[in-house]
Amino acid sequence: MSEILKVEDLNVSFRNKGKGFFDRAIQKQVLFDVSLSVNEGEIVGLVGESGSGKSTIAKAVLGLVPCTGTVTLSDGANPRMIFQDPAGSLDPSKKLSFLLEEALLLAGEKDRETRRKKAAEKLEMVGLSREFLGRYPRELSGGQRQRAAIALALMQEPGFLIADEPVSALDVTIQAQVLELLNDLQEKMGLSILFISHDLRVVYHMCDRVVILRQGRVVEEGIPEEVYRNPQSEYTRLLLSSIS
Amino acid sequence: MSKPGILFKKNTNLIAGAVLIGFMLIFMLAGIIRTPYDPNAMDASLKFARMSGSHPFGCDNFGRDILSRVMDGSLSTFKVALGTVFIGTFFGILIGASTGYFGGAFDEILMRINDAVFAFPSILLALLFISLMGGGTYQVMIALGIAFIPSFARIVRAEFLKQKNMDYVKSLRLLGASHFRIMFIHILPNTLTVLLSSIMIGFNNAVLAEASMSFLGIGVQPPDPSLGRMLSEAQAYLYKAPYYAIFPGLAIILLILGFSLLSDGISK
Repeated sequence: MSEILKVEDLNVSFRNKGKGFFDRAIQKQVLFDVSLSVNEGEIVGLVGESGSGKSTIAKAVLGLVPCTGTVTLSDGANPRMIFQDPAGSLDPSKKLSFLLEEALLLAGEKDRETRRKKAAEKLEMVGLSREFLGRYPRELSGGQRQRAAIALALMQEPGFLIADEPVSALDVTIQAQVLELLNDLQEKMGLSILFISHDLRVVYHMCDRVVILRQGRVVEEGIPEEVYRNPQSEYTRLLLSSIS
Repeated sequence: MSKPGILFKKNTNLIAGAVLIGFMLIFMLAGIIRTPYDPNAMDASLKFARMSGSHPFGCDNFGRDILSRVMDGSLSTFKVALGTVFIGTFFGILIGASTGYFGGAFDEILMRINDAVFAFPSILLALLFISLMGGGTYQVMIALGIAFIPSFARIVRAEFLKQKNMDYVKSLRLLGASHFRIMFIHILPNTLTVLLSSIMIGFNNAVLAEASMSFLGIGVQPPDPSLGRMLSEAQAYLYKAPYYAIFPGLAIILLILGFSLLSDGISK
């Protein structure tokens, strides 16, 4: 199996500029020599408490923050992201049809009919009927909105998805449905997913491999069953004891 | 953000403002089509004629029909306000959007210039421009327009700062949207409520500013009427012909009240 994403010795630090004009900027490092990889067709869970640098890894992979180290994405990766809060990840002033078709337009699809057809197709793929095309994001429920956001992420046919806490903002019943959808899509389209979460139980059910992060460092990595049964690091044990 | 459908329900401010501005617009439109008399036609026999059936608002010191002049004057005041707000909004959006979105040194430099312009009272600034460019309708429009840019720029910048960190902006970047597209097709429509409300306040201030400048004699040039000019001409005859001052003043009040109610209504 070939790697779709390979991250080696990733270091990220932010300059925290003080409020005042003459305040010195403070350098704060959030990731320390992080290495991880995602194989093709694999769901890898990235677990850690808030502030551990999970989202920063995602941003670094997508080139949204400056970083040092090597991030290698394979050719078909074309990574897209699913965000935690679907209320913020869809432009509230546009109808779904506009948002979905725009993604194709930006990918260079010139024909209007094709764009329309594909938008409806993708929407149906995530379990929303085509009548949702004419709706604004605010007219959707949280779960529907997250489905729409997933459809938007899939518009440009990515091979690799980064899901940043995709269900944390949803009701528990809806969470299961969205997770199932992601699982389905992964199987159907052969997607690779980097699944970021703070919920060990969700990761256990979803992921082929799990990476545990603490304060910007990888503390443990492995197959969920093994990690959960026989945790190697003190921190993983602590995390596990907090859920059982 | 309120939905357009329920915007009008139970929004007394908005309804009252819309009615007032609607009334003034009809009043001005009627003036474009036809005024009862030529607003600049003088008639010595009608000097300070009282309010009557043929001249409902009476006549001024040159025997000109005040109703016709208020119609025409409201229109020229409104035109200046429109031009001022247009210039202010257009450049305000350009500056505010680019500084708010890109930030950094560019933002720092432009906003300090903005602060410097903002520090002057807009009338004073406009006076300065007028003294350089000469008086007249278009000069006033440009002068006031420039003076109005900073306040719009600030409002737009604050909105863009808020919006640019939203996830949908990141998502669009990943989809390959250009900065220009994100700024003007995606972020700008989301700032519309705030923008509209401040445009209404802008109208308000522009009407007042135009009236004050014409009052000082540097706005619309005689013999063309403007509300401010009429007030300044009327003050010499306040005892002899109080209606000369009352009607233009009333027109200004209606315009300002209407716009400020609209602004309140929209921001709700």
